[in-house]
Amino acid sequence: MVDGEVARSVGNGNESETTILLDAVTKRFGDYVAVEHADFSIARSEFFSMLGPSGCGKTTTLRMIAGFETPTSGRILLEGRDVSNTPPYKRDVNTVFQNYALFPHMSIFDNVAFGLRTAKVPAAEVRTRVMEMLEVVRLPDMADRRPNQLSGGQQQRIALARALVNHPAALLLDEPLGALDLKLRQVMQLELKRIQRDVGITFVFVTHDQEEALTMSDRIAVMTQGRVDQIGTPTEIYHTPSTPFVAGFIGTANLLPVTVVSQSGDDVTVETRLGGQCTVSAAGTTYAAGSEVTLMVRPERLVPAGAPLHGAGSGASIRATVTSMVFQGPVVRCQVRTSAGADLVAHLGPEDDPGSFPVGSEMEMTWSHDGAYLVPEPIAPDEAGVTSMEDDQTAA
Amino acid sequence: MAAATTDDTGLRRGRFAPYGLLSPGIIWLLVFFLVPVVMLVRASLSTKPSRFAEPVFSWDFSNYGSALSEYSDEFIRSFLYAGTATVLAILIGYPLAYWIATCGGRWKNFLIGLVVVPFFTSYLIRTIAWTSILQDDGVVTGLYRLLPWVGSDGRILATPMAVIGGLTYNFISFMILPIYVSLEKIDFRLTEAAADLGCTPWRAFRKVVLPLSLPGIFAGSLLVFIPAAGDYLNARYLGSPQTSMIGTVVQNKFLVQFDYPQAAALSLVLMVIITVLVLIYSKFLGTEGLAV
Repeated sequence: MVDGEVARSVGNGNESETTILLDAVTKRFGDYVAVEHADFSIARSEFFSMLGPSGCGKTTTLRMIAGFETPTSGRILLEGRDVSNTPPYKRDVNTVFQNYALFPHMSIFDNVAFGLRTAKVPAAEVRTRVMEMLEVVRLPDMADRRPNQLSGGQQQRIALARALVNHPAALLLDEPLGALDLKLRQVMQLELKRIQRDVGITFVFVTHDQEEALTMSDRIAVMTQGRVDQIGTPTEIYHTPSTPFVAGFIGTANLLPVTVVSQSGDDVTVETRLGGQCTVSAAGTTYAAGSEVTLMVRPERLVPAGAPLHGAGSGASIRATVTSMVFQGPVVRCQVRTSAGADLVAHLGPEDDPGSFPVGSEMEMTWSHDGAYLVPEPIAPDEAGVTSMEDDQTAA
Repeated sequence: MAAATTDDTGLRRGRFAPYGLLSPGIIWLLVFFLVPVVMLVRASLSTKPSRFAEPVFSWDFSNYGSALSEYSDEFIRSFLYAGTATVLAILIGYPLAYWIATCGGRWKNFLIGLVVVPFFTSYLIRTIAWTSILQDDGVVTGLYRLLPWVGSDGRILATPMAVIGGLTYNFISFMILPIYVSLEKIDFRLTEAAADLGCTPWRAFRKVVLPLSLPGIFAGSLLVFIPAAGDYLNARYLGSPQTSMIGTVVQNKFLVQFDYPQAAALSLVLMVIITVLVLIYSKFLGTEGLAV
């Protein structure tokens, strides 16, 4: 599997290059399995994200690394040392909490100095390190203020400074941008990435926002229902998802249930439910003939037949009826329905001449040979079609 | 024009609304606080020609002199007992309030209800009930006599211990409720943040929870100390002549000896001393405690 290989390639190196190692970690609350067999490592200075919908176990995993929860089974290693049962105050990690949890009765300076003073760092050094850190988060003039005198974005930076000033082995961030508005969130995403590069500390970032994870992360662990579905770089996760869930959770994906017909080298021929056949790259995997898998085509790779293909080689085509055409600025979101009843979405550019396909008209959609990807897991026929987080959100 | 007029009255009504809302309180304070205080000051500066004669206003400051010289023991005892009862109420009430606020879960309101339940019985009856609990041949005193340093004739009733115990018991709810309210408001994720920053649970409590609950301790202390310092029922029923407090004296002067001038002077001295103590206390705890 793709994710297993990536995880191993990172974990394999020198042991000191691994900051955090989760060794078969499972967490149960009564009968409820919050995290099931989490087994991965996080490298030094890596920006690692845990991404998934609410209730997928990402926050529980983070809280186990922080020490607020104890694994039911398995081990957590921090810098090679087993910390599974170590209380939070003895762990060399610091957390940026979702609600910031700044101490309301202390000045900003005292908030940031809190960890250093607890560690009995000399007062003069506390002063220089706190002021340095306030420079890093670009709020040097706020030292004497109280937390409630700061805006949400400023409090966010102070929470970051309060954690980072201790030079932890890893910084844990629990949906830290969730409470900010979109504009500020985008600014803070870039800020976080800059600060992470500047201080070189391992960041473990929990979010349900796939765009946020793609923007900042070196690697992403996509989680659902307590399991880690895939770990990989943003590119790997987007282009070669290992499960239909990952495909739909990261961006928008058109998913079709297909059956493997034959394989020759790297080319796999699959058959759709409508009887059409096409050839897809197997990306190093061997498929048995007759196995049920899922064909994924991203909306930007789905184009009207006859239009220039976004990619090399010819794939296959599918006939469908246009059900909606929505102008979204850079692209036109074109939704079509196949005769099997699956809804597909294509993002058409001006070169595709979207105006020539009125709603209700029939059109032929196609994709290039490398514009499609085989997800090595089956999908139920009624789940066929377009899936994306946006759809989930409107449904919920 | 019409619109402008309505706007104008609306504005005027808006401007006077705060005073309208305040007026019941102001009238109440005028009638039941300011007027009595003025009458008390007047009485304290009066003289009584004979026991049953009406007091005559005469700028007589000697009442204050004798208040301080003759009753200094009672004053000292009052503040000592009230202070001890306040400290005991904090020591007993804080852990209880903390436990209810953190572990009470869905039983919180029920548990706080239990704290208030004693108020359903009259203060006087509860105090008198203590006399039978602490009586010399009772179980409590019997157990007390088993202590190695207490003789077989040791007593609880009619000792300072009984008076302080009674004061603590009678006023402890006034300590628990404000502390509970201030603890309830604390976001306990802050203690997680403190633990994350290296604090042991005890240090997290001292650095985060305790400072944030100071307003509750402050309010509770005032609510216990002030009535306890002026109390006479506990000293009267649970104590002895050797444990009399200033309230006992005032009650005796007013209702038994009809010595209004002396009683008024004693009351005013008590009021001034309490005010000064409260001001010192609020300085010590930080005035911010009142604002939060």
